[in-house]
Amino acid sequence: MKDLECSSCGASIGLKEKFSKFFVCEYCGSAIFIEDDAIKNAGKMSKVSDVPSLINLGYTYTYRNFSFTPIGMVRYDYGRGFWDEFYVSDNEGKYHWVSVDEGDIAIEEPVQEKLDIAEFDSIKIGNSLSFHKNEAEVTLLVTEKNRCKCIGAKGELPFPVSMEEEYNYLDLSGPGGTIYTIEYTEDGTDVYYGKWVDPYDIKEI
Amino acid sequence: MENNSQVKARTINCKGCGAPINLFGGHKIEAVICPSCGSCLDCHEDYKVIAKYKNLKRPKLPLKMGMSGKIKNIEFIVTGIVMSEEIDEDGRYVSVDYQLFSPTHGYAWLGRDDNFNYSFMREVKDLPNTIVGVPEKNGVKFKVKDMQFTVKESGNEHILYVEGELTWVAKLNDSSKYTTAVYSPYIYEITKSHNELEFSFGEVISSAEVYKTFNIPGTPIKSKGKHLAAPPSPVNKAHSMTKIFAIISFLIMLSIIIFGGGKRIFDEGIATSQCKEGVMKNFYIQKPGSLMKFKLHCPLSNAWTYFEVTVSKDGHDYFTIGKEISYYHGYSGGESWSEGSKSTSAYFRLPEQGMYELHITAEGKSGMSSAGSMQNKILRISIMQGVVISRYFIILTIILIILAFPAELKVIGAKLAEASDD
Repeated sequence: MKDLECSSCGASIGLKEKFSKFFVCEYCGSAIFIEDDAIKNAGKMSKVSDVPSLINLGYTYTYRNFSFTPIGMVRYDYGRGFWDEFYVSDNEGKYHWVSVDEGDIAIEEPVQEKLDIAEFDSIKIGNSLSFHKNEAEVTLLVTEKNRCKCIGAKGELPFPVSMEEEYNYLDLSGPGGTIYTIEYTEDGTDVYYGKWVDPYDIKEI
Repeated sequence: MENNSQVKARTINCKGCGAPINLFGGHKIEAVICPSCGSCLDCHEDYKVIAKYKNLKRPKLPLKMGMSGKIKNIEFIVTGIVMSEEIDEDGRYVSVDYQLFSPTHGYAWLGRDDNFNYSFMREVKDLPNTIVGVPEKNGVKFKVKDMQFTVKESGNEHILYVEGELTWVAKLNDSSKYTTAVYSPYIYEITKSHNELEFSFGEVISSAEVYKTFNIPGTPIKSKGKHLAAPPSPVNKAHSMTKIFAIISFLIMLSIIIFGGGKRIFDEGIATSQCKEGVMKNFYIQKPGSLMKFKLHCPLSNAWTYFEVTVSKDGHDYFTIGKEISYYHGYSGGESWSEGSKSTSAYFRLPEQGMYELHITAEGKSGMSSAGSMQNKILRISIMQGVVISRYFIILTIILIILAFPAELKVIGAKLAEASDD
């Protein structure tokens, strides 16, 4: 993969993934934005404190027939605690997000289709929320409505993040452990779709 | 990788009484109940006192806050205790739930029921495939995690005692509705409190394992009865198998009785007077080797006749048998009586396909004395091919039914005795 140098401390940055756009230097904590093989310093990232976690960067895990390797992570504070969002590559070279919050684990991927989602302020916890996906109506239960703030990042990511970056989000749950996460950012809504998974089914290999 | 899942305790001082409280839980803990003064502290509001449970007496329990052990190879620490009570028309039941915490796998519950059986449960996001809410009717079935669960128990319970860190603000006397479904040894529980519907999955764990896991001194209290989800004992398994065999045997017996009579290949009536001189008849065998049955029926009345039956082909005798039919009846002492039978039968096999000869001769007497001549009646001879003998299955079925359903037979016997008394 690409062999670059940290613009702040000069340490070698051996990117593992070709689609990575953002990197946190493990030596000096500088956030580095990568564009067309050029690097730009994007400020400093707070050191993410190590906490016992089921998922850790640099290891490979399996969930049933799906294996994945975390290559980067972002930690978000949601007021009453924090969760870690891991950027992972799977055994087929596809990318997913694995969120980890004290044993609550979800595997998600971005929904490419533009969905017509209601305004954040108009939604209440416990309400049903419907939208059309692939021309079919999807109805889910709003199980979490909150605001989060980025408090740190590690490794490689597909887009830049910055400290103190905040956004509103919703978690919607459906049958069979289905989860949709709606992120309300300044640029619009980003939707992620996936499944809650049983932490007891995740094994390190 | 070695997950550093060892929980490091933090200590706070209770804002109600100043006593030190060790904390082991993660950020999802909502409230801490001080074991010294019963103050309920809000973890997200700098541990301010939000309620006080007076006269809270700690029950004698084997597990204490901060004890740790590995279940499913995951290290858990005891962070909270909830004791609940359920009262119904049959009595009062007390259960204890120990909240466990693992930094890597989150929260779980070690439950102890009224019979001192333990279960290891954890909240899951796998919801039942068909039902919504909390089913109350026993026997309702639903699927979760590809397992077919059956509702075994439901009820309402309220909190008697709380201690330590909990993931919700537990209040004394708070009630919740629960349903326990079982797919042995697995358990699926649905719990509904005033503002939450929770789904938990788990399995039975032996008290010996609990004591060993958490290094509890002494021996566990002996269970007063089996857990709802406990796997059946070998004796129960054998009994269940006997029930299955009894049902299978009964069905085989029924099918033999209905379909095992074979195909009738010969059926003719001959006057017994003709048999005195000897009668020969022909019949054709299509399927050699199969079991055959001949049946003689003669409506004698106070008479006996001895029949000799020979089956031969091409001058070779394949089967010879002598059978007596005798039937006597009368009226004496104010009661009618009868003895003997008007029918007889025998089984045989023939080795070759082809036309066979049936030779029948008869001799007999009528009346009570030896002087009477042979009674002249029509002897009906039937030959069936492809017969299955049912009597062994009938004996086997009766034995299996007695072994498999002793309680049911006792009830039926008592009812029959009651009916006959009436």
